[in-house]
Amino acid sequence: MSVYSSTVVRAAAALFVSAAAGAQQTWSPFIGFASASSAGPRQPMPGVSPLVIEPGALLESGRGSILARWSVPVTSPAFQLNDADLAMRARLLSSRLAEGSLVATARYDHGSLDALASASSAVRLQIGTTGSTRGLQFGAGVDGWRSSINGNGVVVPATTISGWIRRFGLSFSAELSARSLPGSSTTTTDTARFSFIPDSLARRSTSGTADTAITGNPYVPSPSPPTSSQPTSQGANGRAFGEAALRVSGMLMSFGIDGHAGIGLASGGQARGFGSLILTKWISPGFAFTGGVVVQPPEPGSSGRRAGGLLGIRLASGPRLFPHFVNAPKVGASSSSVRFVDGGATIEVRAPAAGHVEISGDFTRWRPVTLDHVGGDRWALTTRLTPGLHRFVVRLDGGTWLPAPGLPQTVDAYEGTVSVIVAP
Amino acid sequence: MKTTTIVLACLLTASAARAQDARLRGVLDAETLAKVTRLTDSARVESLPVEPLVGVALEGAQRHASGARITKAVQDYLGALRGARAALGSDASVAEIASGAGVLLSGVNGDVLRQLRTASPNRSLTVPLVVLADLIARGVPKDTAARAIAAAARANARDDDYSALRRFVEQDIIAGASPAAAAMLRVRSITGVPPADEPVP
Repeated sequence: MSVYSSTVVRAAAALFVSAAAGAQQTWSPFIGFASASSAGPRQPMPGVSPLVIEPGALLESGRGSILARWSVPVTSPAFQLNDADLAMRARLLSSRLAEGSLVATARYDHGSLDALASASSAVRLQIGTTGSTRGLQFGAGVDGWRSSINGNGVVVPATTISGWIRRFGLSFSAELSARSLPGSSTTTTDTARFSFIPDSLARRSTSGTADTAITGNPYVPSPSPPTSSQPTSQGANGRAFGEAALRVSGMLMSFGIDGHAGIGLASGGQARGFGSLILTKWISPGFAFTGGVVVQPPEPGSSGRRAGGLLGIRLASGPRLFPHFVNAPKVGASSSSVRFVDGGATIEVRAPAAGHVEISGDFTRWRPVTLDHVGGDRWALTTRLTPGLHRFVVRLDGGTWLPAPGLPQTVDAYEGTVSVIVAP
Repeated sequence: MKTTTIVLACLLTASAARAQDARLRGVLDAETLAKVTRLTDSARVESLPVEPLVGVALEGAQRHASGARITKAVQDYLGALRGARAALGSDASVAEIASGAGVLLSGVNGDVLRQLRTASPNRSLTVPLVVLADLIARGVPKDTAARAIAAAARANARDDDYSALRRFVEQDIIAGASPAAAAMLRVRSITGVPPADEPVP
């Protein structure tokens, strides 16, 4: 396991402990059914079905998420691990003007399509800024990416520019990313069996002089991986990948929606579409069914295309969480509470990734009032409340007015739902 | 002296009316404002609380509801205020009427209010009615919540008892109990009588 994989595993373990200690979290075991097809020169291994079962689990909290998934062939004569993924996202900072996330992935791939084993990891630091005007929220961010393939330190400079708006309780985002290829890398015997992007696209000597341009599908490795026992040198000339994707996520009534669609392009002229649609239906505040279809985005170095379905349940401790899948933009508050002290009331909303939280209720004459950021993911308003029943709604970052999760709710005269609190 | 007092009262009333108009004027269109003002004026003439009606109109504006929708919501609330006073009696306080209207709008039958008044003729029903509305908002079925509050009223529960009932039910629900079971269990600890044995109007 490379140093990057070790780092990822350690960071994931730390996040797991942190998330487990959080007040609100969602645990989502699921089973995926995927079908892989060869799209390149390399054919599937004889006797191995392209259909795989992918058990996995997703743990989410306001601070981040961890996704673990592995894949085994349905008809394998013996247990065979096709591949496994460990992905984590940790929100490092979140303020009114900026937010930063660390996205780390570790992947083991013994693809039935490639007949080659590999381990890779990547660490991305995403920093963006947000703002809101007239109910629209927008943002943009860039990130860098450092990968390690089978112990080879491969720096893949990547830039992602994303923007999002939030309306009607849904978050719409668009993302453009570009990756340039590494200039050169050196592989050894143990790691030479895996061929990453450079081998599939172009070759360049370690001296930096261009040798031979490889034509063909830029998404697939070369058909003949090196087998020499001597260290091999390989590299790439300036080929590039680009991806463009649109995503929508959020809540509509008791349904959670997370869908995206995009296209990957390589400078060789190859293009592949990808996308997913995952729906979550909350049956009760702590239990939901989830399911959907996924066509995975193209992965440089992989010869196959993977498409499949997903079935699972989601379990939430405490009030229902809004869906914020591994790569989804922030969308909602996680919990709320009210404390009464000396005739005053402090309404506190926990919104892990919000930059601006407002409240509107009968005690504000239904005008928006901004909550104070009191630290971490906590936003609060202290006000005097007359004894009796009061109703209010909250909104994050100029989004839709919604009841505060974790407090009693009722339907108002306008067929909306509002939070209800009783002042003593 | 008496004349001066009346004049001052009229001035204060007119001032309050102007203030309410000003609050609504900025957020309602002219036609809706005129209709809502007529409804609030009716409430004022009938000595019904006006403030909840203004709140309903402001809430509708905040939710970008249509003028017709806002007018209907205010009209419905005015109807609930009238129904609450009819059920609670002409001597009911403004706070009782407002709380009773909230209960009626949550779907509880007016006979429940009459039953509570009969059980507690000389006590304010503001707190019991607020707790009743709160229990319903927390997911306690309407009949069960009405039974629980009626049982507490028959047992001469004090305001503190109702507040404790609300607090304990809240804790039980958070701990995982079903809202109905929590209400039935907790009211029994106050009255000693299972609320299921209480008649429901």
